[in-house]
Amino acid sequence: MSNSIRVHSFGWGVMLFVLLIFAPSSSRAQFDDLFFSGFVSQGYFNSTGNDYLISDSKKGTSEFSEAALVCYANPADRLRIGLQLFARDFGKIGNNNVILDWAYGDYRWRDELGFRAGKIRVPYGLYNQVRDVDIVRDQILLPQSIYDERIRDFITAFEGADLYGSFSLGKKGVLDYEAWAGAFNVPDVTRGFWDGFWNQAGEELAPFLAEQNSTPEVVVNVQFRNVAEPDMVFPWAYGGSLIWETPLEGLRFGSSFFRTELDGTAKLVFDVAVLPEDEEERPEFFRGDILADVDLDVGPMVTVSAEYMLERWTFASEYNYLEFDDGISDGWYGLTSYQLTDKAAVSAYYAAQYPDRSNRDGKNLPLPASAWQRDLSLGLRYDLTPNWRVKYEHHFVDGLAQVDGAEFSTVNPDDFEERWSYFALKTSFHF
Amino acid sequence: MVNVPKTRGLWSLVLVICLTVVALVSTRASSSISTVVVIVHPELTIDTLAVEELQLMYLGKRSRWPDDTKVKPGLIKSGALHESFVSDVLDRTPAKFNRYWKQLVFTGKGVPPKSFVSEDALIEYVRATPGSIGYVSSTAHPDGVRTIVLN
Repeated sequence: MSNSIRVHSFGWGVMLFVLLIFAPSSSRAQFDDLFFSGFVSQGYFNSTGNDYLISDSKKGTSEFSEAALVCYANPADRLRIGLQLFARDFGKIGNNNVILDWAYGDYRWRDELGFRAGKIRVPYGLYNQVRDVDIVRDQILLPQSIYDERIRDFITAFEGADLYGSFSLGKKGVLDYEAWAGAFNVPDVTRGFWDGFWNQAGEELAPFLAEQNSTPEVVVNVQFRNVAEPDMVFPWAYGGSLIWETPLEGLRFGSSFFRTELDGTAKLVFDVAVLPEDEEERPEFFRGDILADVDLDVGPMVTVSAEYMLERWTFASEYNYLEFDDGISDGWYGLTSYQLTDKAAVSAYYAAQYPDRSNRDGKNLPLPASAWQRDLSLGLRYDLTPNWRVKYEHHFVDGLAQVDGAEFSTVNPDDFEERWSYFALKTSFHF
Repeated sequence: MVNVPKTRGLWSLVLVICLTVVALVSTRASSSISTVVVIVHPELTIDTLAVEELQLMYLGKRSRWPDDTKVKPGLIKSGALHESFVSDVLDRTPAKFNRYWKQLVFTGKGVPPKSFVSEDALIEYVRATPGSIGYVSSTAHPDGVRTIVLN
């Protein structure tokens, strides 16, 4: 199902793109404002201590690339149509499959009220909508406490409609708003975040099944084997954002939220051994599966943000929390960057994320460090030309909250390092 | 290994707010816009324009003139006049202005102002395009366009 959605979306995007380019000359005359832009980036990612974001990252990997092509047209006075084709390779995620990243029609009735419909970027935080646009920031990775790359594929855009506008407040600045509703599309339910999601369920279910089925006469061992036929949908989602651009040049504050529901099913496959106490009876070994069904309210996720660009300095900070059925996670960061010259900048941020804010110390968890992740990042950016830049950044990390597998109840502490690091090197071209 | 301290959230938000207060009470040098003259298409019947309105037009947040004509801003690609306009009138560095528009382009929110290789090319665009707005140096006196005063 997920593949068909991806192919369907891609096909739709290509069709629209081709229509724009190869429209009959009588129609093409209306597209005087046809506009193209794009970027290509290639990176190298290496972690020590734990695999992170990209599988086998401890070995170092260059499966860390992105490319995008944007096209706009203005077929009527107040109407604009745009789309972005996007591909990335992020270890097991993406694999350079081209997807329709966003595509929508935008009718701007007035500056204070416009309407969009299609696949639209989710306005959460200050940077979710531009999270993969390497050329608009000094860092390679945005703070993962707010912008978790593992869920990028379904959190960046929704399919639906939104209302938006911009109100001039005179001497008090400008207020931008967006209100949206639709659904999230999960392009691949077998990889990345979802792989860990179901694996965690299977790992945690196995000892429970063993205990439930064992008797004084029979010992049952159950081992989780794999996930089969996973399916995952977010049937609805809605949210909104407000950004106040203050009269002080460069200073803005924002707040955003969204809610959604997660419905998923998968077969969890187990290897089962039935071992009778009586040694004369033969043990039994077989493989079985359980149909797991998830119905989870997600949200609200609330983010508050502040950014100040003062001469050569940029300061930004954001905090967010996310309510689940069984708890609240939260995270925050503080970031600064300084423009050394027209071509070079240095940046640093400190980010912290807690999957359960009522248990920040990991009390009673199999691996306490899975209750937090704190990341100190130091980076450097240099523009070789106005359209070509390189970046390097190093991260010093304490905790395992976003390290896949560390939260499993069956975790082996020796498989993880509580204090670890990673670095990334990346070059980007854009036009 | 750097020892990452435990810190309660939001301290950096407080820091940003403090910096804001400091900046608000600081005296900033007033911008000089005397080196740049703003021009519009001759059919637009305006003589003055607030600087804040002009900034909104070049940021894509003001899309209509009072007579409902679509605003079509134009830029010179580079050079001293362009830098003077962006810095002194739009109150941004050219790098930040470009970054702002890249953000909009790659999120589907807009297309940057048309840019031209020379002052003459921009004048020709403004002369020929209803709803257009551009700028020239204060020593230029182009024909066929309307000069407006910023206030």
